[in-house]
Formats: sequence, C-alpha cells, structure tokens
Amino acid sequence: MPRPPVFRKSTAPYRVPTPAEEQELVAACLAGDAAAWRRLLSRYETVIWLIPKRFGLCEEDAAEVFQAVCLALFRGLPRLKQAAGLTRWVLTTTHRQSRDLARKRRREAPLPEEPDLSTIPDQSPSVADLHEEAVTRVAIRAAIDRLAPRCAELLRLLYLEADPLSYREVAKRFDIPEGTVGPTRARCLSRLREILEKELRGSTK
Amino acid sequence: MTMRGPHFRKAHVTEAALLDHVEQRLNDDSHRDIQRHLADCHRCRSEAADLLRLVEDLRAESRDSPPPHLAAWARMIPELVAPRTRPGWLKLVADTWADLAGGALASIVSLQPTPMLRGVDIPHRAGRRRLLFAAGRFDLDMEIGYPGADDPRHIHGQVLPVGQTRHLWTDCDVHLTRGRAAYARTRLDRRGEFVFPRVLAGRYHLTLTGPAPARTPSFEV
Repeated sequence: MPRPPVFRKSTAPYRVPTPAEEQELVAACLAGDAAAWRRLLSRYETVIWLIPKRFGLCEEDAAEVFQAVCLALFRGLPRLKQAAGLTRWVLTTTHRQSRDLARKRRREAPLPEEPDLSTIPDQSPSVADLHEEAVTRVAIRAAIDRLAPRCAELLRLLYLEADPLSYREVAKRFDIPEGTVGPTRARCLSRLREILEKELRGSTK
Repeated sequence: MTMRGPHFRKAHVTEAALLDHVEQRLNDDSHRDIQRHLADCHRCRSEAADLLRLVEDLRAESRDSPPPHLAAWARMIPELVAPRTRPGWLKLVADTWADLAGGALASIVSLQPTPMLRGVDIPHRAGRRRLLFAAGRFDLDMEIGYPGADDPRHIHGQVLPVGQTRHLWTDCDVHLTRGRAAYARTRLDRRGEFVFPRVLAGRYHLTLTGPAPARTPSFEV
C-alpha cells in the first residue's frame, strides 16, 4: 500500500482554511450549488495549473493534467465530503498526475547518447517542496473570497488578471473618479492582509 | 529621518504610501523621501517587506493562473459531466424502442455547440480536435483527426444520451454536407457511433435523420 506523503512543518506565512470550512464548501457543491463549485475552483485552480508547470510540462500537457485533476476533483467530491484536507488531496493528485506525465514524456523523448541514468539527478519537485507554495496560493484565494465583492473584483482587475487593468480602466469599470482607485485598492489590500493575518496566519495543521 | 509630508503619520510612513512605494507609483521626490526613512526605520521597513510580499503573491496568482478558456471549461464541469450517465446499451435500445412506439420523438432538433470535455479549445492537439454538441436530450461527441497537413481528415462521432433520457439512436443516418452539397453519408452503429474516414478540408455540417432528426451548426474541418 503506498505511503501517504510526508508533510514537513510548513514555513508558509499562512494556513489553508479549516477542514470544517472546506467541508461546507464541498457539501454545497454536492448539493448542486454552482457558485460553490466556482468558489472551490477559484481557490485551487492556480495550484492545479502551477504544479505541472513546475514539472516542466508544456502548456498542452499542463492543460491535460489540469483537466484530469478538475474532473477527478468533481467526481471525488462525495468521498471528499468526509475527508479533511482538500488542499492535500488536490496537491497529491496533481503531483501524481504531473509526475506520471513528465515521466512518460521523458521516456518518449529521444536521447542523444546512451546516458548513465544513475548520474542524472531527478529534479522533479516533491509533494513537500510544493506544499508551502500551494498553501500560500490557497490561503490567498480563500482570503480574497472573504473580501466584500467590490473589493475582490477591484483586486482581481488590478492584480490577478493576466493583463491587469490601469487605474483609469478600473475607474471607468467601477464608475468612480480615477483618483480614488489607489486609496480604495490600499484599503482592500489592507483588509486582505488583515484576513490573512488574523484568520489564515500560521503553519498548516 | 524624514517624518513630514502627506506620506507620513506619527513619524511613520502611511500604509497607502508604502504600498505606492513598493508598487513604484510615487514620483521621484516622494520615493526618495520614503527610501531615506526606510533606511532608519525598522518598523516601516518590515511593513514594506510584508506589503511587497503580498503584492508579489498576488501577482504570482495572475502569472500562474490557468488560461481563461480552461478555467471557463472547469467551471462548467457540473453541467458537462453530471448528466452524462450511460446505461447499458441493451437497456437503451429497449427504452428507445419503447419511446419510439409512443411517438415521443418527432421534431428536428437544432444542436448547439458546447465546450467539450477534453482538449477544449486546443485545436489540432496531437493531430486531433474535439467538438461536443448538445441537443438537450442527447449530445453529439465528435473528433476530427488530422493525419497530416494536406491529408484527408477523418471524423469519428458518437451520439450520447443525456441524464435520465434513455434513448439510443442506432437506426439513424448521418449526413455530412459541405455548403449545400451532400458530401457523404453513413449510419450509426449499435453503440451510436459513426465514422467518415476521408474528408477534405472545408466547412461542413452534420445532419442526423431517423427517430431524432438534428443538425449541427457548421464547423471547420
């Protein structure tokens, strides 16, 4: 029987949401709440995407892993309802899928000469290596989720978009004077820090 | 230590000014003032480092986010996956004939494109492309194979029942039409599948005849 991954004590500044909170979200998904599924995904999609990239997989392969894990997550929700540690499940599942695909790609790649395999170090990241980063990502997403919708949207437009908007564009979108965008984003970031420090601070369970 | 001006309060830099500083949104003079203050003030330096880490963490989120089309597809998983239960084909045939005997299926259904389950928006990935069309009571799952740039393509498809609708379309013709001209015709097999082995590049649509007439919008091959 495979041994569960060993998690070293995290040095991440944040911690993931409590199992009770995660189970509540999973239960809402199982009840058919589409908004809950979107919230769950927004919390984990970055982790599911960045792990295959850390394995050096190309965009198409990362997309394959992403799709497989998202489907597995959806189909596995009934089992996850009883389980604590959604983050660990997502992390280990994505890690396994990425590792297997990376190994497959390495086997398929033509080698220039016969190498001495014992001299080639395995540079694949371990679950433990990725744990801290995953916890940080999930905590940040969970904190954004707890912001007032207007604040969350403002931060999304300014920081989370692949092509972030300028203050002018944000002002137009929110129908507010351009000069108020900076102070508003400062207040929203301040609230985000507060959530991270008061509610999601510390090592993982 | 500079402690006066709009960016300072009670001998320390305000949070808003520190944020502007780490995001490099201040003019040169203000930037220099704060820089000088930070050199001497441990508390503000530590605060600036925290803010910088937060901003970098947020920016990393955007850098490592999945492409929008994949994220959009994932959000639709409950709609795409949940109803796609597939009962055994013998049961399906029996149910289908029972429905047909009752004259349940008659009107032409217009199939609508939906995001596909795998390979979404990754055209020609590994020499193939998938399309999924939905018609409410059934889906049409289709794969277009591209053996080489100038080679004829092949189209493989399957009609899938949706949710509790237990119909299996086996006695059904599939017409491939290019523009207004009939291009090829085949029949669904007992699993509801069909193949067009050699199709030249162009714009086509498919029509299903028989008990559940339906037509796809046109698509590029």
